[in-house]
Amino acid sequence: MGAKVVAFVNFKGGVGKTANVVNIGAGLAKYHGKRVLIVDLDAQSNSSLWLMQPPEWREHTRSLRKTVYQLFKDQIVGTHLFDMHRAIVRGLPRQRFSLIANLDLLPSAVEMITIEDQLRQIHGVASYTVLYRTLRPIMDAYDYIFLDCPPNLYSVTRNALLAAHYCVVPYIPDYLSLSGFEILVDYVNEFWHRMSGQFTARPKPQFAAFIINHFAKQRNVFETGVNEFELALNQIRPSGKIHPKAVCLKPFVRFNVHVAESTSEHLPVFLHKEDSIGAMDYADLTQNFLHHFESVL
Amino acid sequence: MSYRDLAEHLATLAKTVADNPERLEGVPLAKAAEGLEKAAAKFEIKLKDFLGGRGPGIRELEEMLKSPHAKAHLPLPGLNIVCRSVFGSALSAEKLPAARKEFLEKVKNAQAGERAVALLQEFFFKAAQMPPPPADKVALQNELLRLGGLSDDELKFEFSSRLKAVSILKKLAQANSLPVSKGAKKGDLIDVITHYARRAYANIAHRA
Repeated sequence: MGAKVVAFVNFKGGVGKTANVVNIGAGLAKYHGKRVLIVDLDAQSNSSLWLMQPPEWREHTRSLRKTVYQLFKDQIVGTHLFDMHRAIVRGLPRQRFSLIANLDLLPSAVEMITIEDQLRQIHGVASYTVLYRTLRPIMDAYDYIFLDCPPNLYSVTRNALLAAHYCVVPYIPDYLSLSGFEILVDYVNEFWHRMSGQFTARPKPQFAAFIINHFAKQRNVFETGVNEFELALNQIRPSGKIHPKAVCLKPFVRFNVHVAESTSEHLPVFLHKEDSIGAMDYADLTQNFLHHFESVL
Repeated sequence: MSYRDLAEHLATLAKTVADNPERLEGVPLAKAAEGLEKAAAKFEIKLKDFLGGRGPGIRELEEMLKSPHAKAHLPLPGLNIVCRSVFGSALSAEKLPAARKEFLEKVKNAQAGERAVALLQEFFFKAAQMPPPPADKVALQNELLRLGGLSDDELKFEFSSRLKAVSILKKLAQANSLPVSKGAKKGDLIDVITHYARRAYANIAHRA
């Protein structure tokens, strides 16, 4: 049984994509023994820099051959310089030695910012299947592969969509996120419809779960925002554009300063402050994520 | 540095020492060797512990007892419930830290680590699950959306006929997480429902 490939996608920025990827990934590896690979697809390299010390990341990405940049670049210029096994950083985070043995990372580099323009030189479906083809040989080495997508719907994100079995949407309960979400769902379904004749290796990636971030109990402001999101899901569900069993996973993740601080420590919140509400929320969320993806879907 | 690198380093070091035992001498080397020997002994204890030296499941149990799951879901009564499931009786300690210690000792002595881990996993799994939403939640959410699309007169009609009872209004508000106080009067409920129904309809109606 190969890995479940999950794209964490939302073209709105600041909704908690990287925090979800890093902390759920770490939770699955640390508390549930799952083998997890995080693929950082964002030029901002946030999940790479969350899990690696900056000097370690700079050293690793100096040649670019050990980053996701090279896997796309190879496809564009016809080289074979990317070496998956040297590129993957194993057992992150580290304090010289591994702190979570089952958590691996394929890092990004800031040069990814130039990849979009270059990918346009490849025409047709081939430009969107680079990631799918690259990940295929390592599918059996992991239980979960998380794709940390950039906050847009351009070619790199489209690669993630064709590589993924499922999409998870990190979400902030306000109207701007709601309007963006509806556009996202329509866009992904239209994109798949356009590609489905040319790409038959895998069924449509399903919107399987939604994660509410930055939640706060303040005069029902966030609850009513979540309710409007659920109302929208109720309307969309019959169209088949989201998985029939797609849910907002519980608990909603509260804003917690220790999660923010853990980025500066280059640790998942579990290793930075194990007794914080951030760690408790992510512990329960990870448990429910696992149940949803292994028993419900 | 990985543990594989460390193993290779130690193997190379061991071979160098093994190849030259008769030649090695002097105070600086002796002191360094003593330091290494002490560090190696410490490391060996940790390593054995990690690899299950105190019995199967014991290290995992220790980690679980200080995990965020335990912090969130395992107060003293919870730990006593788990203890009863393993040993048939509750713990004697009356404070949580002491109770955790006592539980760990009992499990170690009985070599019941794996069973305790399995029970705790089940306990945490159940604790993380949220109560299911009411069966009619989706219907009540759709009802709010429908109300938002009605004219003022139509809404007035609904609130004076089908949605006349305060209990129904409260149920509708509750299912949609609307901000109403416990003592809210009928007029307050109607105002809140009207506001949020109109808002939801404006925000989502193009899907309906």
